[in-house]
Amino acid sequence: MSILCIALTSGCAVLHSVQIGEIESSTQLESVPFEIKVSQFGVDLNDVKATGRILMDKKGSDQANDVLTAIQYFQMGPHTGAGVYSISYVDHLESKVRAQCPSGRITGLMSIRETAEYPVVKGEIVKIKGFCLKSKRENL
Amino acid sequence: MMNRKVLVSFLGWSVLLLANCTYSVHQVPLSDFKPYAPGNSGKPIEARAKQFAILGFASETNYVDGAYQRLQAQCINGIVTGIAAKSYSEHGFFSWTNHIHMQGQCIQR
Amino acid sequence: MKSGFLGLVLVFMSGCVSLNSVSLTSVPLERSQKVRAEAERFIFMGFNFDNDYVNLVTTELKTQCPNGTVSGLLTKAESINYFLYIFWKSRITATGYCVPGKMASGSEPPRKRRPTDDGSDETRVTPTSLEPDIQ
Repeated sequence: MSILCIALTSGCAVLHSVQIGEIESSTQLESVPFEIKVSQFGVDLNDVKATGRILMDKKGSDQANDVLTAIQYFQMGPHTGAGVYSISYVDHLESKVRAQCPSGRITGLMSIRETAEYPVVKGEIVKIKGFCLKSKRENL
Repeated sequence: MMNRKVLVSFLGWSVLLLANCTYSVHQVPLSDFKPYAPGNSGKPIEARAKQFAILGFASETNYVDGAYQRLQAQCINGIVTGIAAKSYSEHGFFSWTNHIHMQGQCIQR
Repeated sequence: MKSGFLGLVLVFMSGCVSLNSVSLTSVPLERSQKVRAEAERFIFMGFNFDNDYVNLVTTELKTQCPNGTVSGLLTKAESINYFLYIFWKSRITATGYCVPGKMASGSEPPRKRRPTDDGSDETRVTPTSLEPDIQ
């Protein structure tokens, strides 16, 4: 039971894409790191089917699989991770980046698209990391 | 009887919760933020484009170039910087729509 | 039957294009000179032993813009599937602008310090740019 709990709560991290921008540094400026993480949960219907096969009898799981397969026909297309039901979580990312660095001296930007995989439910994550260049006088 | 009830409720909740349009975010590429300028110094601009494909039949991906051109057209005498472009697909019945949504800042010179 | 088969062949020969990745850079003020480069490779059964063809894109862009900066770049990586991903093509396309001479970001090149009459160093500060003085 404890092993099952550990397996359920640990999750697997899947990396889909990384993009790194130019990195500027100077001895007169301090690089202050920042990170923005946005996420949305998605449901993997194949996991739901597998769970149904475990929890239900054969007839019930076959009927459930048929329904879920019919639902999957309405959710066809290229998938990066699991499908999510709202797209607003990735809106205005550039505004969030600017809010982290009001001076605007942003460098070393890294954009990461990843998935945290748990049974049935997946976390679709977009992470933006970067550095804000600040003069050492600003930090005094 | 109990199994049938569990099955019916499972199917009902599945249909209610899962039978909606899903989206899949593929990438969120970011441009650089040069020239460095304070966050409130420019004008926010955005452009969107999409392409509908049935079973993946699409002959080109010019919708992306179109969105980039439309974004630039909103900033004729300025520099477009800090661009975040989210590339995602909206899933459907044996078809899907590929979207590109670019948001950036126009810094006038 | 024959016309149906021919139609199917024609559909497959046109190729189904999918977008693998997109990247972009900031767009410069000067946009009069467009540059474009493309590199592609036809792949059979997944046999692809290197990706050196993508280097041709940068080389071509540099050739089109010998005395300037290539900026406002939109780079796309596409897959064109001809038949069940047995025959397919990978294509990289980059379009941008060539900004001759001046730095494409629109900021002036860094100025050297020069002494003034009162013996102190004068440093030019660009009003709208917050770029640090590079010594």
